[in-house]
Amino acid sequence: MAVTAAAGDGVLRELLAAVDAGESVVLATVVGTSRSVPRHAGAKMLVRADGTTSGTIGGGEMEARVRADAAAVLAEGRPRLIHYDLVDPGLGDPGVCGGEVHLFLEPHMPAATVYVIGCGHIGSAVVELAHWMGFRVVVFDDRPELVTSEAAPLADVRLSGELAAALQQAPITDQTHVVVVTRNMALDLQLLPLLLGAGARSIGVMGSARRWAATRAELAEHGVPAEQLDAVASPIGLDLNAETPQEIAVSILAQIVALRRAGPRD
Amino acid sequence: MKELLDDIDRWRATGSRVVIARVVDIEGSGPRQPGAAMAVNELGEVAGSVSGGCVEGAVVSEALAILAGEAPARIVTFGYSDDEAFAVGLTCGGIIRLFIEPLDW
Repeated sequence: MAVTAAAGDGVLRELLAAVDAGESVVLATVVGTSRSVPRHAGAKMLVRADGTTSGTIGGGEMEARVRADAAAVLAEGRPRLIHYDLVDPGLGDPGVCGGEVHLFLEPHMPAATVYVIGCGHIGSAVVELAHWMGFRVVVFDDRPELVTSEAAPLADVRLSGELAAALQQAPITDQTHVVVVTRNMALDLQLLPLLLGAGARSIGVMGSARRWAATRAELAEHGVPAEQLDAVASPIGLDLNAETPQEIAVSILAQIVALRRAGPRD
Repeated sequence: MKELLDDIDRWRATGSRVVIARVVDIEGSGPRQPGAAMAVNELGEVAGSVSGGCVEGAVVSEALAILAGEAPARIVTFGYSDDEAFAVGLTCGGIIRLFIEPLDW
């Protein structure tokens, strides 16, 4: 007996193309229906950030409703199971065909990225662990000889030279976690003004509390806004009494996991 | 779902059809949040996870039933203790709902 293909209409292919192009989109899938409804389990619609759509889950008022709910899902960054009655438009139902439809709305965003600034012992360990955890990994060091496929074999993107040029090549997005693990404070003072205003999901700076206090004071004096400085986690990482580069990498990634997975849950 | 693509591409290159299972809802504690996904091919090979091992075996059975045409794309619930539901549960005591469907490319 042949399998009836779920009516995805090539929507998944479009989804991947959109995400690869750096777009954030929502995939709406009909996961359950009862009585008479226009499309059945497996039907899919892609909703882009600008509200345009591909595919269909039944058309009409229901799709308009899904577009609105998709915007909320995108803002929250979490999937949601929703349910519409299609009975009485007078009561606000988005349809009259007498059925009920359950939809799963799932946000798909550009890959969560760990952006490592400084490819020394700790930077290399962070690259390796972040890759293992499934992050896209970008690594930057001003010294080209440190950013090689031997030193950071698991990085997806390796950049060196000027940070400003590197940020053009691999921009920071709201899905980016910036890990600043450089060799000294002078370098931090030079690089942080470029990193702080870039809209990263999080930013952490290695060093003692004292080093950060001094760095912070200096940056503030040069006009870096207080709210940008407040957003910095420094010393970076959860306090695990970590000592080795690998242990420190665990504490840094643990902090990123805690940040990523925190937030509203219904 | 994107993390499954390498495996899915490899399977499809061999001509295997693929089923995708996605967590769409959890009640109580669940090891994975909604959106977690796994893929199953015709040989019962698995990529990804939806529960950290508690229900994956049962998902493979469901997936193979779908590929055999014995079941439609649908929501499957794990974690009830009553007789109607699957005997497979979550060690954490929660309830997990998965949408399982054949991958239509």
